[in-house]
Amino acid sequence: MGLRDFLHRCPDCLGPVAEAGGDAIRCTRCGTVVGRGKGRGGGLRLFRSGAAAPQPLDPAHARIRVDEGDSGSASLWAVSGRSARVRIARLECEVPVRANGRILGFREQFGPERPGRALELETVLELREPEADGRSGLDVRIPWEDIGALQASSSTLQIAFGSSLVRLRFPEDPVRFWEELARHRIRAAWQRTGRGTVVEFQPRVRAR
Amino acid sequence: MTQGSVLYRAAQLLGRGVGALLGPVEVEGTPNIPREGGFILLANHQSLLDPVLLQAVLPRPLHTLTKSTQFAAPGMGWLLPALHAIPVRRYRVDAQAVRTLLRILREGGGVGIYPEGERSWDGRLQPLRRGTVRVVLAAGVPVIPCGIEGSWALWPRWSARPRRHRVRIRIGAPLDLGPPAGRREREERVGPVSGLLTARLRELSGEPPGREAGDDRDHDPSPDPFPPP
Repeated sequence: MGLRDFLHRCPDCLGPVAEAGGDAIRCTRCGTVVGRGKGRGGGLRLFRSGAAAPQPLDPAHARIRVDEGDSGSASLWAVSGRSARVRIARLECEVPVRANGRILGFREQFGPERPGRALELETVLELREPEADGRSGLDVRIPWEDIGALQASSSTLQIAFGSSLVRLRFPEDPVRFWEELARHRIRAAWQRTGRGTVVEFQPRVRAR
Repeated sequence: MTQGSVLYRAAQLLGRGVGALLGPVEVEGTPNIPREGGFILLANHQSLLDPVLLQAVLPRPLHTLTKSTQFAAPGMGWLLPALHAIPVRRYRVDAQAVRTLLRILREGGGVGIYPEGERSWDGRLQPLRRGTVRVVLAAGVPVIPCGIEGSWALWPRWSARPRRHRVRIRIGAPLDLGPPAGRREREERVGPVSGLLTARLRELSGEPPGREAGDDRDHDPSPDPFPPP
């Protein structure tokens, strides 16, 4: 995880950003640097190219701007067809967690992570992994409206559909970018199919 | 003394040490925790360290709803239950987690829930999970709102390491939401109660409208670390 997982676009110009080390990102378009204050601080600072001093950056404002762009979510998510390398793990079973002889609850047991590819289209999410070790690879097209739950968990994205649960790790892309993208597509799909305005994505996608 | 309680106390001491090292951690409202009987403590969630710091300062043990994937790490399937963590699956409505929670409340224990369902990315309070509010209404026990301020700056979700920052934990007065509500009444009250809890959590976590979440200008005189681009 890094600041790029939170701010996957430049909060100044919405250009692409790269990790700049030490909890900082640098916009590859305008050169703006965003990072955490030093010492006892922790608030975000923004340093524009040519500016004399850094400015405090409201993280909530930055998040909204990065996730929704200038004119709402349409500007940033209008183009579909993004593809990314992923490592895919599938839920194998659920294991009981016990304390003092009693079942407290259950935890997920995922299979091994295998390389694959995620492709997002306007109406579906495609997940593909090659066949390996004699095991058939995952090859699914999930209509966005069929996704039952969506959540970022640490540096992974968990997607439930039908009776399946997959965990996606993005080696190159910020997980939050894909979470926001998927949320946008799910919202749009639910509205398109007349199922209402989505208000929650976990523990299940729920509309008002 | 059970092994669980020995470990819990050890974790409390460790948590106080972590708080002293990275904080300080200031606590207000500890007397608002009931001396006996079941209660639910609802807190905003800004940092990985929230449960550690919270359990360290509370006068009674707290059973905390914890995402189930954390129990999969080596040793955690044993350690986390000893620290009174309750696994909750987040990709489905987890009836077993609710059963366990209600059992602990019936037995007079305290349960901690982070009703946002995940850590905040930007330090601001996120919408509360409606399912959590339903559970609160079904439980019929005192509800203690608790605001945590400063832990986002201490260790935000996206950072690999913590930095020193003052943390304030404010424990609010118990809210009496009445006896356990039936399904129909719960549905009618989810919205208003969610609004009430949101307002209390915002107030207690020092998040008035317009304030920059995570802003630490008032006590951060250190120079900025970033070189000119």
